[in-house]
Amino acid sequence: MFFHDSNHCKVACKVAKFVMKLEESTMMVANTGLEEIIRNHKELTQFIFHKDDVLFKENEHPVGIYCIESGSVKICKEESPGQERILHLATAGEILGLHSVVNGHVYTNSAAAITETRVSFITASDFMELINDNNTYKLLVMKSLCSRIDSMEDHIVRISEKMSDERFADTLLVLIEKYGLDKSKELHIKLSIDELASYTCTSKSYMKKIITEFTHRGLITYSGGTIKILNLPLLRTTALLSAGAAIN
Amino acid sequence: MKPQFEHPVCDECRSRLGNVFCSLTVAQVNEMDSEKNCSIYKKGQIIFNEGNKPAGVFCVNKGKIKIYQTGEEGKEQILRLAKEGDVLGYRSLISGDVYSGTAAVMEDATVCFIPKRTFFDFLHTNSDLSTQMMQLLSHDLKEAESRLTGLAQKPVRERMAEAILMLLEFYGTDNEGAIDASISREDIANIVGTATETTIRILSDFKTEKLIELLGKKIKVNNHQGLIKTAHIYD
Repeated sequence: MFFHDSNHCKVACKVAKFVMKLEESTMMVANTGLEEIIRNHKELTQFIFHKDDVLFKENEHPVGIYCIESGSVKICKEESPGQERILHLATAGEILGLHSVVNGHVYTNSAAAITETRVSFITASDFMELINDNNTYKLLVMKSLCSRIDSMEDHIVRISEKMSDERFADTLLVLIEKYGLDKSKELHIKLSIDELASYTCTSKSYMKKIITEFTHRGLITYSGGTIKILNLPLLRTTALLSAGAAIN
Repeated sequence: MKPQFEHPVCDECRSRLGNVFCSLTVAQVNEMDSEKNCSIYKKGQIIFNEGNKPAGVFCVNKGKIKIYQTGEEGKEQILRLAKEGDVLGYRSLISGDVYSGTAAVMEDATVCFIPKRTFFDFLHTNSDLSTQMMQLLSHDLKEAESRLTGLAQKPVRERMAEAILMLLEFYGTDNEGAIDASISREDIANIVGTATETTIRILSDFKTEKLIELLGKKIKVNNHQGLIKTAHIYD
């Protein structure tokens, strides 16, 4: 793990050996255009974070903005001491830390890599200077923030409306859409039971129960963080509210 | 003769001074004044509907409004509340999406509508306004995040206490010391994300514990500290 101390930006900016060449072709570009502007900045630094490395921590003063080039990052918030809730799983093309930098507040959440992740980094002051007199850039920032709020609100509605098992089926569908399945129907991302529980908004013990139940019903298999989807149509029906009871 | 409805004048609007439009220049305020349309909405009326395309932003001059999403089974989940001075519908306009929620009036409201073209004109020409909009959205994101944490794991009782504190902070108190908004039990249930019956039961529990007092539809907080403790708020 590197750069997890509070002034990691200073260190980070000097470390040139992590600078990587961009592989344009493999990049997934979201439609906001803001990440392109960040990528074209002359003071851009690139880093690689390994699994479980922390990009930034909640309540730290924001040092800059991260743009994910490849890999995946979990955005967490401490719910009660020692207990984390995963708010969002960010993938290539997404920008992290934006709202904290814009508002000049501390980071309102933590970010940690869940797979090997390549990011472009721009310091807070460089970024603010970049957008300061440019209303078109500011509009792009607004758009980027809007899409994050939308996904947050969807999540809120989902949680308040559905039972845990429906939510887990829903979560799996979100993960399939986000990361895709390989040929053997396995999800392209490894997640621990803790992480699954945290993202589904349920307890770890209940998560284990749901996984056992889903395995019995022939929906999925789970071993060592790998989820294999066995019956996608049934998973879709389970995610629907009213269907959950009928199948049981 | 029908009494004439007097349009609020932007230049004199006190609600405007508390929101993003305070950074407009005099000329822009006058432009907004001539471009806008004002309407009076009665309790229960819809200002905009989920799934519709936005044509502009709404600026609340007076009244109380809820913004909710309708779930798969038709249950309302209130996502945000608005009062005088708040601007509505800017998010869909900026992102170019359809409205993600429905805005309905909880207490009679006067709302001004500013057309899309005028709003974007201001955004492109007024740097202060675009900075403030950016900050407003950052704040919204922060709020949405805190809303999300705790929603599923906290028991209904804690969430109810949290909701009452939120309402108190948002609407303030009237001259009787009660929260200055009459919100139906059903709406409270939709804020908390629980059933109306549960809401009524917990509110009466809180009353028995002398945490709150119920004055008709209004709620008066008697024991602020006790309520914070019940809500288990750490920060």
